[in-house]
Amino acid sequence: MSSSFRIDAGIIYTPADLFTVDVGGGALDVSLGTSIGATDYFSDISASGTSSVRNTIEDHLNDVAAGFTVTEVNGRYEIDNPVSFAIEFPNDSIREFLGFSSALYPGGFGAPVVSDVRSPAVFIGSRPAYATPGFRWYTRRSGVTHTHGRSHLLSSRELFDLSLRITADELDDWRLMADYMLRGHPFRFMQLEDGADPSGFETSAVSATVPNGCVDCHLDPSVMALGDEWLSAPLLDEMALTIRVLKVT
Amino acid sequence: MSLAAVTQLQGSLFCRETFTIQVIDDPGPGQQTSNLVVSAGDSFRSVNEFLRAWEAQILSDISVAYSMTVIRAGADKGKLRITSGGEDMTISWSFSGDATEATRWYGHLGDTTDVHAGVSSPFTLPNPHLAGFYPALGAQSARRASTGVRRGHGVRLGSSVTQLTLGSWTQHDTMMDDQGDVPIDVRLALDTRTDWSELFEFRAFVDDVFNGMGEPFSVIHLPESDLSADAFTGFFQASPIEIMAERVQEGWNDYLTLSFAMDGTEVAEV
Repeated sequence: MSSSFRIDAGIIYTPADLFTVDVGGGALDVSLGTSIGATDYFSDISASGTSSVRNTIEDHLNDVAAGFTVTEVNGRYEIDNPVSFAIEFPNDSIREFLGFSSALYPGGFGAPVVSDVRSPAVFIGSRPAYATPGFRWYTRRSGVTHTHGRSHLLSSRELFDLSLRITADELDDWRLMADYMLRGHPFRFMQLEDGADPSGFETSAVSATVPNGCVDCHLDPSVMALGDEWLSAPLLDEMALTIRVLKVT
Repeated sequence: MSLAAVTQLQGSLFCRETFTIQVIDDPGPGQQTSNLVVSAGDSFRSVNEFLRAWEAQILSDISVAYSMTVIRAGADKGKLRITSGGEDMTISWSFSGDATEATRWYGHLGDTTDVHAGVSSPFTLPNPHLAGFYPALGAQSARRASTGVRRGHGVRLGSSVTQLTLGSWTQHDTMMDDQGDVPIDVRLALDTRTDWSELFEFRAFVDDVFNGMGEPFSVIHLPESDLSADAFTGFFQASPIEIMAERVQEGWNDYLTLSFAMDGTEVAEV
């Protein structure tokens, strides 16, 4: 079993999610483009993927000026360039998503700039968590065999129950993550530590041979609220919750 | 008597168009021939029931006891094995009748070729049959949850005791014309010590039931140290059908259970 877990929520880019970069020749816009489809979400939030948020920002910064590097460690983004630069965020949503509390003015030192806080779209829990799979088949009854409802299959989905434990110290961060979930953002649940992956976790999807893999999912439409349950002694500062999610396909 | 519980899940078979399967025992001079006619409208509760009917037809035609079984474990899990009385055999799935329907059937049963000429015994079909699930562990339970009895078709309320009205209740209503529901609770145990393949095999089973010949399906459960199996044929009770794996306390990833309810009937084991 894993000793900790990580959840990365996806981001929706809109044309407003741009920021301006000044490398000494006047401010230039950097637009992230748009990401709408659910599978696009996951290429954008994958810590190891070439289309991750980190990589996307790095690419767009380098469209403006060469030399930018963007790294992400434990949900904190670091932007660096040997040339002095300044970044402003006209739209707060992208700034908050990246964990910066204000615009960036390194002052020409070329020093890396690290997120002030962990991205609210990244939650790293210190307690065990696991995913238990299941399936749902949507059917239509034909009713031709008396009360025995012979059914026809309409579609099927893969479900998971995510069983999490959260400490009181983590509650604030959890609330931020729950906010993304309840707004309908897909998210990636990672349950097995793997130091070889940039995310620090196993990023192969759960399958027959990878029972502790990651799950790309969103809340089941029936989930209208996320409630946690405080544990009893000796775990008085911990809470547990189970979340029903649908795998994104 | 089996020491360990054994559970099999099999989809039903339904024939749309008549076709004939021919088996030639010991092809050549003096060969004997058996023809199994599968007629439009014929249905079998399970693959096992179909195999028993096929065995009986061969025994009746040529007086040779063929054995037809589904392999329940190992690399050939889910494949049909046909054992003759010792001679070679020729199998023609679409010997006569509707070839399209014959193709649908032999595809469902795990074959890819219409004719197998002069094959030796035992002969194993190349693929597992569709809509079959053969877990390594027997189910924790497969049993009647309760029994309900419905009023028969056309019975007039109060007609024999207290005539309340002269109104008629004899309009045909299928909800009233039934032998009664038998809710059956099934709790499967999955051996996931090696990997979770059994979990996804179960999903494939349900998909195959619907995408193949359709409901109903059968649960054949031989309890531990019992002499005979319980067999149930029926339909998934819920709609949508939602089946979540459940972890067993301290079983980690190695032991999962699956529970579902079906409406059906208890039938004789085949």
